[in-house]
Amino acid sequence: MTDPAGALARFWVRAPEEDEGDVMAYRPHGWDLPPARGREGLELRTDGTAVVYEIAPGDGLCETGGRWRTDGTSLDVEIDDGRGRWLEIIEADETVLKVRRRTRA
Amino acid sequence: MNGDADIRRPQRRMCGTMEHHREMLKDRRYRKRRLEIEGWTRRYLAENADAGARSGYIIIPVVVHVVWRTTAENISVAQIQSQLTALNQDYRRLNADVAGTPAVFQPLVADARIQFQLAARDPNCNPTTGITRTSTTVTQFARAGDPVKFAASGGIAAWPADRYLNIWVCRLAPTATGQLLGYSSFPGDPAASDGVVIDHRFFGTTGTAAGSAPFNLGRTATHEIGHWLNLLHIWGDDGLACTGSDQVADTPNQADLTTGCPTFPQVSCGNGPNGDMFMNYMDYTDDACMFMFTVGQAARMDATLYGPRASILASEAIVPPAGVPGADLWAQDRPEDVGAEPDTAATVMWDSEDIWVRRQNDGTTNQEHQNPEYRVPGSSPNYVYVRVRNRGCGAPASGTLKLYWAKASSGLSWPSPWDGSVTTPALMGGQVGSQATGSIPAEGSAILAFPWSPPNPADYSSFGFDAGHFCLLTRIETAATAPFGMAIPETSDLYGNVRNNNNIVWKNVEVVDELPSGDRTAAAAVSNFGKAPKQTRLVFAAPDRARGKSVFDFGVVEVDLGARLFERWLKGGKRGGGFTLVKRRLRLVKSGAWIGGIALRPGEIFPLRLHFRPRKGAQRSDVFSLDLAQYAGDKRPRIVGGQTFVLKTVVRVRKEQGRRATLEFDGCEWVKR
Repeated sequence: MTDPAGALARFWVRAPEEDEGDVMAYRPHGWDLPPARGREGLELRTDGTAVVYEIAPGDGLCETGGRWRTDGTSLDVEIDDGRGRWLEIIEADETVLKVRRRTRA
Repeated sequence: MNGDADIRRPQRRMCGTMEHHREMLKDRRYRKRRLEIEGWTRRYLAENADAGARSGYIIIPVVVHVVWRTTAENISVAQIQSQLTALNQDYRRLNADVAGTPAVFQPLVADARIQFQLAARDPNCNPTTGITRTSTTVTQFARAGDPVKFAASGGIAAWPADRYLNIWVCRLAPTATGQLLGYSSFPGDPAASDGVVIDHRFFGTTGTAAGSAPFNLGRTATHEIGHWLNLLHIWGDDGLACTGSDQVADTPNQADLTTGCPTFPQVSCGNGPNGDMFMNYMDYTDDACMFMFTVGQAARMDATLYGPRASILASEAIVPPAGVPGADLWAQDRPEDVGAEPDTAATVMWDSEDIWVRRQNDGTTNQEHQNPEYRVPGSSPNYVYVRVRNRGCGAPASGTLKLYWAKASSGLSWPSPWDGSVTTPALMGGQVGSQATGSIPAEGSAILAFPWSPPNPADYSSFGFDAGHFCLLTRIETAATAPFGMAIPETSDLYGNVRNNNNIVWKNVEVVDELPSGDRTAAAAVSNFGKAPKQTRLVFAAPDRARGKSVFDFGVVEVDLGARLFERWLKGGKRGGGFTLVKRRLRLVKSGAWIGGIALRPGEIFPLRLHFRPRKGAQRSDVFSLDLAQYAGDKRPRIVGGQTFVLKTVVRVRKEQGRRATLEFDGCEWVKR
């Protein structure tokens, strides 16, 4: 696992109200986000495992395990069920993660 | 859009603790049921693509289970009522904020024609307020495992899900990413966990919800019950992709959920210029920023109510059990009828939703009334369906159901013309059939089907334009001799018989078709089947005037009495009000418009014609209605009958862009193929 910025390995919560165009925003868990009906999450652990939290079809969260890796410019999350998230990192520090979806290389 | 698809191969997704064998077995069965329901829904929607909205409305019986630890959590009746009020606005498009829908989406806004009412009887057939209260030691209930739905885990068991919508109200535990407001099951879920759960702070608009902005308008329940009726999230539950679909054609393809209260438009998935429909109840916006269902979503809910949740239509749960005999066969005059004799809940007695006609034999799975269609001898028949209910709490009951037709008229009597005794100008009525109901258990019901070939309209040429319109009457006899089990013996007053006896229901509804010009015409007949002359009054009522759904909201309504009836009306002193005369036609200007002083001799029948001209400008898919009631007597007129005219408008929509996924459900998550 590479984590050059050292900032990626944390529990990120989606903040769609901060999206700009196709750039999606995440904030660290515990960040003071406005109340929402539900938020998705991406837990990137230091051991390279990941948990993807998605809104379940009948509300609440559905969590799925996986693994993540980064080369500093891209963030790939392989989800245990065979799906994945392939993201381009636009900005990442302790307070915010901004990514854009990309076609898998 | 495939390049950024998140989905590569369809596999089960494991959710937390669901991995052991028993759960997997359950999931397989569940997945199969979900697929069957989705298949059913697609067939229904394809077959009814042009049918327009359901013309009736449905009352869903509700039980609210309050599960509380602190006094505040033991929410008040007023707070529960405030939630029902919100639901009855949102599901009938009566919410004031719907006006904020962007103009481009306005034609799609639906009146889902669903209402909610607290149950009046519990599963043991005892009286109930429709509210249960359970004290618990549980501080907050998790979603996983549904603990609030089981007594063993501090909650309370569901009431039978085939007869009640169960709503549990409790304090919910937060999820990993924030507070959970509520959650829902889908059709096909096990009965024990079927229903919706809502945190008390987001239930209703008063009490503990009053300070819960931005989730203080009761929209969490609107959203969750949408799921209960098989609606999916508007973004397609596909984890940010544009591949998933909510299986509804008239909602835009949308990438992701929307939070907060954004400004219009918000473009994603190439859905510009109008963008996401984030003001839809099935998105994730704040309560004040979601205010509409679409026509396509309403149709999907209809498919659910005629399919996997059809049993709710036959529920007796709103019928108070007090005073009801152990066994009592009946049918409903209107959806709010509880079987009281006489039925004082409604004026219109000729619009029973327990009788419906279909042009093919599909009426058990499609209960939308169609006009009967004449077909040459030897062709396949129409079918008439009648729902027979047993509102008793004790014993099964059986009887004989007799179904009759009559040439439609607003003035009918009993037993003629239903008995076939009136043959001029042609046969004016007769018996369609007679069937044993079979044994109907307490609180049970049955749907009886009658093949029917309506008479040839050509035989009624003297009716002119009203030649093809018939009405139906059904009587459930529980004794072979008079009064045949009727609570109040029948007289020649048909309207009175229907009102007095819950064994008798009547349908005189015409769905008015659109002409190529966009105008619509319907016909009615005014008649006197009695033995004495009658002073007659006609009253034109627009029943949903306040709801914006009366014919006056559709457009201009004119009544052409025809030369003979017009002369008769002039002769009687030209009495009436609520209309203006335009070239010998009555142009109605308000609900309750009437004409009177018309002397009808026994046996006289006058056809009249109604013209509906739609107002200019944008239309939306909708249902409008007009009731024509006929009264007899001059000083104290009494109602003798009537006809209801239903007009539907159907707005065609551009199909949703993007791929339509096939759904599988594995107990935690949808999996797409």
